[in-house]
Amino acid sequence: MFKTFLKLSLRSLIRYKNYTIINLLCLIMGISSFIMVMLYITDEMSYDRFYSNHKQIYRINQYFNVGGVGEKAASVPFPLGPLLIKKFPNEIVSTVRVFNNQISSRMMQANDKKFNENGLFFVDNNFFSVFNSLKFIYGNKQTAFKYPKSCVITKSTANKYFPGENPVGKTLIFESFLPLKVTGVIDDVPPQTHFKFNILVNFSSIARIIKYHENNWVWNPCWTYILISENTSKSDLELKIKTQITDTMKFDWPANFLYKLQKITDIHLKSHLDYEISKNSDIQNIYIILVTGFIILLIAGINFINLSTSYSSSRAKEIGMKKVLGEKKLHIVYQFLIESVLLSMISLLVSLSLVELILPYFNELIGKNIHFSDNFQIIPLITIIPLSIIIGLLAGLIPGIYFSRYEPAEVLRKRFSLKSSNAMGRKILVIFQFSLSSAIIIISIMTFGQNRFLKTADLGFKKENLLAISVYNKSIISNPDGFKNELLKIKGVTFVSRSDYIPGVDHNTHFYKVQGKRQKLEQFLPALIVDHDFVKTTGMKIIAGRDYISDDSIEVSTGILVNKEMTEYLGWTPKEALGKSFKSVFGNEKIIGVIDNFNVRPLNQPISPFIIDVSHIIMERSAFIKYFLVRIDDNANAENVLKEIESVWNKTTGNRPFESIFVEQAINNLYRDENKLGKIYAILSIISLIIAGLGLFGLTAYIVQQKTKEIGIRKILGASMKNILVLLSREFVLLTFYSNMIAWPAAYFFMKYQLDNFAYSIKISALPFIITLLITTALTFTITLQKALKIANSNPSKSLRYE
Amino acid sequence: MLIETRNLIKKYIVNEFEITALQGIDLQINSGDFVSIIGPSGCGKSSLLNILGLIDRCNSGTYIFNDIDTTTLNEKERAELRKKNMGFIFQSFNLIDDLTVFENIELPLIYQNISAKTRKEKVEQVLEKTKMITKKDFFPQQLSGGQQQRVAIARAIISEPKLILADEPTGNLDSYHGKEVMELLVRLNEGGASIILVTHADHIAEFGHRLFNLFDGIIISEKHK
Repeated sequence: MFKTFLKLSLRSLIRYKNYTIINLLCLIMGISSFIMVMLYITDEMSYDRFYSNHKQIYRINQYFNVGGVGEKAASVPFPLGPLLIKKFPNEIVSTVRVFNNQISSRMMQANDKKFNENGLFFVDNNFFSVFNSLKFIYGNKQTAFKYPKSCVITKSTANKYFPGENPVGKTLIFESFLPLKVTGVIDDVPPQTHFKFNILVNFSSIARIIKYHENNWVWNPCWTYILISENTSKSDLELKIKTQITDTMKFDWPANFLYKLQKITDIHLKSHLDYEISKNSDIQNIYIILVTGFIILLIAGINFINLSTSYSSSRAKEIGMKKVLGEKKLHIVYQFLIESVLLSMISLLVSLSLVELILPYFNELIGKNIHFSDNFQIIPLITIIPLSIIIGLLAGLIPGIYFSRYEPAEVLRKRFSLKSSNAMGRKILVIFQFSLSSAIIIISIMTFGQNRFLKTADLGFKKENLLAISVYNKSIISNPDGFKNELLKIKGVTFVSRSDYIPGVDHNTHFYKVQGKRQKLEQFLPALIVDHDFVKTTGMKIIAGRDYISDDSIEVSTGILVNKEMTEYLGWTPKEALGKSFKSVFGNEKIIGVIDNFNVRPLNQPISPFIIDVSHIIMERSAFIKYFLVRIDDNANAENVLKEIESVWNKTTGNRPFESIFVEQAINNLYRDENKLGKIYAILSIISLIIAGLGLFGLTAYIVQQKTKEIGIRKILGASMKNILVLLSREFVLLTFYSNMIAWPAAYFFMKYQLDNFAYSIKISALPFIITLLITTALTFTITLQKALKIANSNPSKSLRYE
Repeated sequence: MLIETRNLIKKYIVNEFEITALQGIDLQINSGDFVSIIGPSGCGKSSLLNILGLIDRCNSGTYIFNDIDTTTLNEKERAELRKKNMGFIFQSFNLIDDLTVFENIELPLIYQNISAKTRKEKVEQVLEKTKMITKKDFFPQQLSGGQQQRVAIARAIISEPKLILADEPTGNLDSYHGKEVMELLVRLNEGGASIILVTHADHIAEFGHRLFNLFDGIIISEKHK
């Protein structure tokens, strides 16, 4: 019996080719999109789960705040890790510190091979006992860090410096001065981790690069991970840390300190603290993409159901005769079910193959490395298979049950069709579909607008044509002023300044004692440590007082610049703030100038009080040189200037790898996630519109076919081409209008919620809504017009079918 | 003379075979005539009616309607001529299911851009004439066959056409309602409307004053009453 149903189903699908093709296309697009979405989400949710003990690994974070200014830092002071293991031996199995001296790029050399490495970290010796799933190819975790000045590298790093060799025992030179022996090679770290590294150096080697800060509780540069014991709860341990460590600490400054534990698997999607080891994603984006994936599948499913119920009317004679000949009601239902489930299963199989084909392009678009073969990818499959079956069942059940209810003669009657209540049902489904598509389009347009805003917003300084050259310590630039002067000689270079961070991207905080209007404050404040040419180089605007005039030590040791927000924070107007005292390690300084507010961090964060300061201790200045900022004239050929800068660099550093980035690009990189989401959203909105459009195409074809006789009659009665076109398109264009009316408020509130996450965002205007209305109306009109023209031009006698 | 055709030929292609439905029809019909065209199924009578009603074109020959050579007209001109001068009655009524009786009847007037007030007056007049006034808000599915055909007739005469073309108007009706419809047509003819009726039933054809016998696409005989 089943074989017969299957045979008849296949024949039916072939006979109603157009309907089958449209359904297949819609389902394949919907199912493929959903699978891609699920693959992406599964990948994002799998970060750091490859560590077999991930449930016990936490990162400890430091929060402090004074009067609304402070830090929520992902890194903590040096002594904390060792103190925790000492104080809580039952609760904590192990702690590991990870450190890079807040410098992301280091030069490594082996023989003649020199590269800047962005994944080099100094780690405690017990690193591999905490991060236990890293497989050694050469060496082992027991001996890897047994001796000082040793390093463990990844497989691809080994191939880079020592191609085709076993690198154990060989030497890598750190920053031209520190030889490190390679003691182990591990498999490349999977991309699904918040902590990507390629070279791990024994922690004791730190002493060779900086003065060891084992008792320094002020500086917090260490990412510290804790392996807790199996029967320890996070909240209990946090409370113990608070009562036994934090509350007993004594500082020179008033502060509300708190240490919090964070699951390692939560970091990638939920952590947006200061000094993250790398930029993280956002769980909100995952939810949005997931919901959108479901919506696309829903649109495809609605299409399927709508078209199935419509086209089933064409089979009234077939079903009627089967009933006359004695077919059971249940078999009628089975027939429809098997057909529709068969169609959805064929779509699923084709979708799986299609996804396999386009996955590499998808990976390239969103910067991922997702493979079907990964363990975690089973989740999308076990979601989509039942969903496909459910869609098939629903699409077959409705016409099946409907036809099975009627007497044979009723079904055979020429004018039998699914009732007008079902026509209303179809209209509601079309409205629902187009509402979803319209909402996605509106959101996509606004997301695009917001991303463009992020790229082009005025940050309060001139980010265009501003180059940041990575420099890390004085050994690279033994004569920073000499290097600066050489750069200034290049045609096209107008200003040069040093800075410890790239403005607009990041900054540090330093401790200041400040005289506010109402009270004296002692707290950590955000600041950039620069040289006297910083304001000119970045194009910031002085609104009170003056800029630094020279590098004269008195000038820089006694003068400080603050932003307008700082003056308001302290209770003054910009003019009143001039001359007020700021004491710090950089000297007893007074405010000489107030800068107009500028964005030091990504635009989802508001402007905070800020300081521009110069270290007056010349020897220590080098410690704060991480970048040289070079202002390139707008009319100069930036490429040529860059070549000359690199040439000066090579002369100065002895051909050390040159690393630079335009500040505009560095800032845009902060919004990689938003850009990624924007791309994904644009693709999904196009797909949703295509699916909805195809469904409408199929439905229009069916309805026009049903109305052929009516149109013939109207033509005979005198209807013009225009009358016919209006008749056919009016209904669908109205449906599109209603759909937009439903979509608009939903899209508005969603985007309002999203944009509220940004301190700076676009204003929601009418334009995206109007554009969407125009697009959907134009699409609907074009589809119905195409069908309507065909029928309007036809011979009315043919449509009446006399002979 | 209202209608004159010379050597009308109509061919169809059905599954790669050419079928000649009309093999050179010469016809002359005057204003006020009640013409019946009779013939067996497949003889070409509906094809002839379609051509005379300007809802289909002949392959060759001439068709002059009211001194206008219709074979030289384009589609728009044909539609205009048809709209103003002809009314149609079909075997299966061909009412529009989504429209009420009133709306079905007023449709030709809408296409002639007649104002709503005038339409209302005319439709109610015609509803009275066809004794369907009490059913004006009903949908076709709610009427009997005879009632539906009366609505179709009302629709055919609403624009006071010169010519009414009826294709097997009683084909789907019982004898009582069929006679009722034919009597209505006779009254319309007495009122001045020219009628061309196509049928395969002798007793229906006898309502006409002139009888053309069509067989295999040729007029084989003509009788006057």
